[in-house]
Amino acid sequence: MSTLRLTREAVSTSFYKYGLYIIFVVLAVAFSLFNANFASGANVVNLLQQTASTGIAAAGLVFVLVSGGIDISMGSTIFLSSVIVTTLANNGMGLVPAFAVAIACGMVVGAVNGFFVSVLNIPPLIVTLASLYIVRGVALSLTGVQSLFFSNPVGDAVAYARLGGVIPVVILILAITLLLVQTVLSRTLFGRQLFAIGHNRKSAEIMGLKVRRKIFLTYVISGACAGLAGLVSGAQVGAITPSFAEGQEFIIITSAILGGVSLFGGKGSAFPGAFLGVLIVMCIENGLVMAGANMYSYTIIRGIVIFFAVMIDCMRNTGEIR
Amino acid sequence: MDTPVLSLQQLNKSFSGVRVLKDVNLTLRRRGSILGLVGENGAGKSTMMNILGGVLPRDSGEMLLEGRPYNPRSAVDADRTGIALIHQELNLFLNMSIAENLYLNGAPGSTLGLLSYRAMNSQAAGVLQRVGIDINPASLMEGLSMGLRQLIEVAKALAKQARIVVFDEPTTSLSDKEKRHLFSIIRELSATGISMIYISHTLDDVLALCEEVAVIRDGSVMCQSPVSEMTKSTMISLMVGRKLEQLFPFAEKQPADTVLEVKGFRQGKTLKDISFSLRGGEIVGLFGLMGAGRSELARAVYGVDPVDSGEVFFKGRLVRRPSPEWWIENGMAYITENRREEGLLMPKTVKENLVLASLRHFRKAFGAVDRRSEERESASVIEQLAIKTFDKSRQTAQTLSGGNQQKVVIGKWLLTRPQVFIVDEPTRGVDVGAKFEIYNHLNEMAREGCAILFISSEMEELIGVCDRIMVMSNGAISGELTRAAFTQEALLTLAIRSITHEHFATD
Repeated sequence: MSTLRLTREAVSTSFYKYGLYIIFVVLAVAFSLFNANFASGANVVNLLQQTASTGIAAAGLVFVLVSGGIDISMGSTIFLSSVIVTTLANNGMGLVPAFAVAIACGMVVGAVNGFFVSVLNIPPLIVTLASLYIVRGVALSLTGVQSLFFSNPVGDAVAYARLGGVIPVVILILAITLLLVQTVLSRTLFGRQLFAIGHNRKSAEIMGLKVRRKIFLTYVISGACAGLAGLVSGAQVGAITPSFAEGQEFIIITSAILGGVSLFGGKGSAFPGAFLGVLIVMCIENGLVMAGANMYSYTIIRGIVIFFAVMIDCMRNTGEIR
Repeated sequence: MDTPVLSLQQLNKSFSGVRVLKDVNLTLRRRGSILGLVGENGAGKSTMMNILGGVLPRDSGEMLLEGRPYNPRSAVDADRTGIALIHQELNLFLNMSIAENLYLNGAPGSTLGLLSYRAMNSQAAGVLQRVGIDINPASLMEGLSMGLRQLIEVAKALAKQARIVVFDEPTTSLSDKEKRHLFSIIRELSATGISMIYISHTLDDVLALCEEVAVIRDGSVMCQSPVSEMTKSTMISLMVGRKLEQLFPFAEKQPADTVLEVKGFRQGKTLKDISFSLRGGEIVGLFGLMGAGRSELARAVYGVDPVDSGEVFFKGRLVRRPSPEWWIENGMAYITENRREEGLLMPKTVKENLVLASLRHFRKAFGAVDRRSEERESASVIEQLAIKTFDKSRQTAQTLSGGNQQKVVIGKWLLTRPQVFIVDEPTRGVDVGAKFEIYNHLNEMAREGCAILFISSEMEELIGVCDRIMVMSNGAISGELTRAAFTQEALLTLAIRSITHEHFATD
């Protein structure tokens, strides 16, 4: 009896595991049939470059999701960080300080979110919804609702430089972030304890884990990643309009969930999980551009993707007592 | 004499002005001894356990661990000193592997903060062996049986090098076989010098397993003495504070007309052509081993699960589409095995929970709720079932002790004044005093004409309170006994009747 159930579970979990790869391959093949350029080396590098900012942010979000929270303020944090970094870099700030400022600026937003969520016990959806608006407002007041332009060596170094003339720096930043995040999640006690908290917070508290402190940290980390993503995407796009990165939070969340990170906490990974999700979402968008789909179809397809991602997540969570 | 492993001296604890522990003294005399702790729900056992485990601070008193003062400030402190609690609700994370669960508070073989899964898994395998489990420690908790999960909690204590392990009702969700395995492990651990405190309502288990027993009532320890000087009845009278004349009240009743009739229920392999009927005013027991299909039958009758074929008649009329809504409307109540999870709104007050299923009865003009009768009825149920609450309109269900939560669920259905009442294991995890109250109440209801189907795996209570007992085996009713023929042997023979050739042959 029990062996039978175990194998059935094994089949369904491996389906969920490899299902993602299958979807990705099917998409890639389909788009390359549509457009021969899709599978070209240049487009693959281009695609990876496009995933960098969303991938970095999604990796940070995994911490929050795994421990049972949510952060919908990431788009605004990306905006704020890119505004601050652009302004300072245009006034002569160097490359290393730019990274430090971007990450620090995200950490401040994250710390505020984390404080309200963990210390004051306010639901994270509400806290980060408030900061979604407040942070964007603060950033807009800094720009005076004007567009900013990245016109400095920092932007070029981040966006166009290639290591050894081959690997774009953004891809390197993405790779390092993913490696770091995944190591912390799966190979440290802190990471494993987050999974425990996300699965059953009360039990984690009874066991004496310092739950509040850890939840606070997850928001700081997700903020830091959003800050870094702000620098990357700001440098790549070059122009920071007042609506820069608006709605980006939902693409980040969708990607993570599509990549198998559970909205209900306790499950998921940054790599391959969330990253694969980002890749699939980017593939769809990139493919649509190349197929010359009209503007309206984007949002519709985004909506459908969100729906399916959450639906699969819910299906995976049925039958389990929570 | 040696210094005791653990001694609690004059321990006191109050919650919002209510004294929960009063000058509690308790001693674990030597390494490897097992101390049984019994008492009614809400007597203070869990509070004491939580103070010992560093989850709650104490108000006053002393704790000595091998003669040295022991003042845990958190659960982690208790862990480090070697005291492990195994709560009734297990603290396991099903999304993680067994090894990860064992070492969540600190892992072996980590370097520079990086976990070594190889070291973790190999150490875990050793610990699992000590509790008699042969499973790959890297496998997920999800999908393991309750029995295995319970043992993994024990393994967790061993992984932390616990010297003292406290068990709180470890057997409530275990099968008989799993229970025997757990007990043999407990005995082995005791032989290796690990001391244990064993909290349970199953007094026979306590007598069989422990060396000494302490009885706690209303926050005071009534006595601590060797099991040889204790009997079940002395324990019970100490727990309840009065002498219980009999454990199982039986009342003569006047069976009336047939209220419920089930004909030819079939459901895949779980139910095989089941027919029976219930008359108003009788208590009918339904006995069977685990997996015999008792709860499945109840769920099918209540319309929770569909059947392949079969008919139900209620007061002689065919019920076309039985559904829980229809039955509640027409006077059948069903208390499930998992009443606590399925039956309570945790953040709501005791009173709100009690009147929830019977709001129809409290309806006044324009759909307003008649607060006065709501107040009166809920108060009377609280009194009848002796539910311990300091204020029924203020205390929320989640702050009640486990047994009292169960009583609230039972009280909720009592208020609907059902004509047919199906109860599935209504006394599991409930103390002796409360059991008695529940039996009395079932009798009372039967006397008022209600038909009761009493599902239980405790033969004693069925024999004690039922008018007749049906026995299920392997999805079919294998026989029925009338009161004169009640014996445990007869029940068991019927319960294993059809299994004997099908299962034992293959085993």
